[in-house]
Amino acid sequence: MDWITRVKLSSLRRRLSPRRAFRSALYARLATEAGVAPSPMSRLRPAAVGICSVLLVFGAGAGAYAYESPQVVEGHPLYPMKTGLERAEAAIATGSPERAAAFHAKMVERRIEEAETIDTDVERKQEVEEKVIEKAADALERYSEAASRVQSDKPIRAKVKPEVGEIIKRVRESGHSREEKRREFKEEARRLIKERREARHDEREKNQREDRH
Amino acid sequence: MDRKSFDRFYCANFERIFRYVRFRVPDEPTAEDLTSEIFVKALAAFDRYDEAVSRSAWIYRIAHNHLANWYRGRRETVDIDDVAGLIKGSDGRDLERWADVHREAAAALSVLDPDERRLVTLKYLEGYDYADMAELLGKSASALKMATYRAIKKLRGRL
Repeated sequence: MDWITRVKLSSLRRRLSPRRAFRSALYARLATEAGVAPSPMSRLRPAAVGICSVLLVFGAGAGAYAYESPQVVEGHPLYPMKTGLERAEAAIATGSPERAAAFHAKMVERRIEEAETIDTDVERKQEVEEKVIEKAADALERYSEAASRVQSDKPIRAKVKPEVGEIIKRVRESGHSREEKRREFKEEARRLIKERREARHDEREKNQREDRH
Repeated sequence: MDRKSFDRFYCANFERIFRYVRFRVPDEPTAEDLTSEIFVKALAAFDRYDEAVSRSAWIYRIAHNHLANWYRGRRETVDIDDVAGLIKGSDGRDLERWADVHREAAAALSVLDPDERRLVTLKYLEGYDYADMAELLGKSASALKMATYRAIKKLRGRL
């Protein structure tokens, strides 16, 4: 049945497709370099799904919860909504390298928080955590790309938590190859996640002891 | 350069070039970096682009050369077209990092000879139509259609 082969190839093709945020970011960059005014619709088109989600769902509160909660990770029913909203935000943030860098720094911080708070009940916890850390590393690479086009990224890093800002700074300035930077970042992120989990655990035990007394 | 011709060029080529690159490199961030570099390069030479002469072949050639240079920089020798989806690092480790999508496609496409593999990747994975493929490969669209049909027949049951 050749149509089955064609359908499967189409499915593979979809999985090789670029991210919408990347499409619009590259378009904006090239349009700026070419000195042509970017089409206003081109920036809104990739964000359309996310913007519709904002309009339809934010009022009900689910969108706000999906967007803000670090517990909404892959496998969560609200996860597609969260990624849609983030794509919309990414498309809007392509206006300047400062805004793009600030957005990606926020994504690095958010992915680390997600990895840290993955619920122990979530199936395939380890696998989901690794995927989230990989996504944090992707966000860091995009941050580095945007930050390389600004004079100083110090004020941008100041917008995220100091420990996350420190990791971003250390890895960016390490002078290593791209692959090594990714590996360093993932190791640092895992260490930070472990420290935070332990601190939370200690805090919980302390509270329980106080309650008993 | 006016916005309309730039928009037309970008819309016609962006996804195809990204998929062309994505299918030949180990991860998405690398594909994004390389695609950006290819389009920046194309933009710098946009004066030489003539849509009436070549709709896709021009940027496709830039992408091919850029990817070949990238592999050269990594000290790996590969034939970009012949080994689409099969490329691995010289030490074999890169293949391990490839997503399932590559492994699945690579396993299926390995039954085809290089020319057939190129037709299937151009048509079904990168999204070119037969007219564009005819321009890229210098053959008639009808001959390519027939050859692609035969290649698809060979893939039956393997995906």
